[in-house]
Amino acid sequence: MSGGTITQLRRGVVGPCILALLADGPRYGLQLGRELEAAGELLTSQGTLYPLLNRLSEANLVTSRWELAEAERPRRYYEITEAGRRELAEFRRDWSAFAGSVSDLLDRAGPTGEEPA
Amino acid sequence: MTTTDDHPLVRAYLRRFDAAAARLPESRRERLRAEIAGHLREATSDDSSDAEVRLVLAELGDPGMIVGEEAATEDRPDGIRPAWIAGGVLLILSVVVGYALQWIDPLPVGISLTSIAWAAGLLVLAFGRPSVTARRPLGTAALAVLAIWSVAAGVVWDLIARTIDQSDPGGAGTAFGLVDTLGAFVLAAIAVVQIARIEVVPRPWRWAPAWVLAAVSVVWLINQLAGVTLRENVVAIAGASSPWTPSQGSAECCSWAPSRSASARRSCDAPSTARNASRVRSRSHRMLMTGVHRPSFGESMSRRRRTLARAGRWAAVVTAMAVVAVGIGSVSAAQAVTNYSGARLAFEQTFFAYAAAGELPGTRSPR
Repeated sequence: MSGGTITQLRRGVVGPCILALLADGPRYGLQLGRELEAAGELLTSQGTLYPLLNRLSEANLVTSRWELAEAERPRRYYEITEAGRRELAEFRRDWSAFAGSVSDLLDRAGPTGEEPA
Repeated sequence: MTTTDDHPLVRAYLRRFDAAAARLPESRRERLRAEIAGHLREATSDDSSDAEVRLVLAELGDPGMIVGEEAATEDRPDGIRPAWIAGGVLLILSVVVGYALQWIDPLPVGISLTSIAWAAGLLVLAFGRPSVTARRPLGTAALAVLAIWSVAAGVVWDLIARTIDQSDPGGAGTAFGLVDTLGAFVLAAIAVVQIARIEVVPRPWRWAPAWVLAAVSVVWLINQLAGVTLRENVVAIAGASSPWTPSQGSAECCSWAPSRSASARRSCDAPSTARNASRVRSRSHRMLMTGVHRPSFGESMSRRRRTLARAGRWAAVVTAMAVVAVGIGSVSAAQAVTNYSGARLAFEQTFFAYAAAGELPGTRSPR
């Protein structure tokens, strides 16, 4: 797959993936970045996570707060909002149908990309 | 011992980040830098080796890529858009100032503050960040040319106003009026369609410029149709005694763009208002025709106050329309409403001036 295509795909899905992680509980930036990397090629680099978090924050889908635990450095924790949960639920519904449609088409085309005879 | 921030590799990375992020707005740049620096502090420790720091920096990614993502984020439809606010304020100012200064020529050669504010508003919306046309060639060019047109047309109108042959109603004024109106309309139409299609402006506002353009087009069209009837009536009333013939006030003389200077507007609007003032005609002209009543100076002033009050209401309407257009740009057609109101005012002033001079049938000269 070309770099441009995977970049576009990432842009479309990484936001809801961040919301899905935050739906389990608050997380700080590095933690989110590592979990997304562990899940697969969801981030171009960990640094690109922060503009995405800013976007979600300004869309009121997540909130953030600074926490200072003992013997730790101050961390900015991100938390999903109610609007974020609704957005995630909507994406979940859309994604099932979308992924199903794409899979059907790809299966029909066969592994080489050619229509089976 | 060095802290993470003091690590030469981290310092070098943050310097590269600062250079790349210089193009971002300050608040966004500072927030992103704090997050990146916090990430580096979190991912490294004070005794991290160079190799470990290099690995962390590699995972974090190139500063230019991070800033590029942030810049792309800045252009998203749900963000703050200072350029749209600035452009919208300029458009509103052009409408409001147009009313306040419509009889004044503050600048030479037909360039008015109104047209400058209007043009500046369009340019800010076209080239600001984010651009309402995403700086794509067609829509951006349409807005830019419309802005230049608004100013340039004022100069041309001023030249025509100075040199127009009053006995040649179908001359340069009429021809340029047609070109001015149609040209501005075509440019505005291209711009509003592009704004709607490019989808930088969030729904449903991306169609708002098109709504405004359609609304003002309808007003303008009604204006023209009403003027045909009124013009015929004024011809019948004024006959050949008037120094200007109503036919001189061609429909094309009323321009879309707020580009005409006050002098050009006066010379053009006075006759063209014939098509704008059917209500005035139906009330005042009836009295004039029967010779029952000639308005006194006080009554005339009262009418002017009422006219100004109506102009004020129009100003409110136009301002509201301009507010709709804030963040959208390219609503040059809204200014047509301004011209409409100004033209009506000019008609009333001109008409009553002739009435007071006894140059209309059924009236007597005060002399």
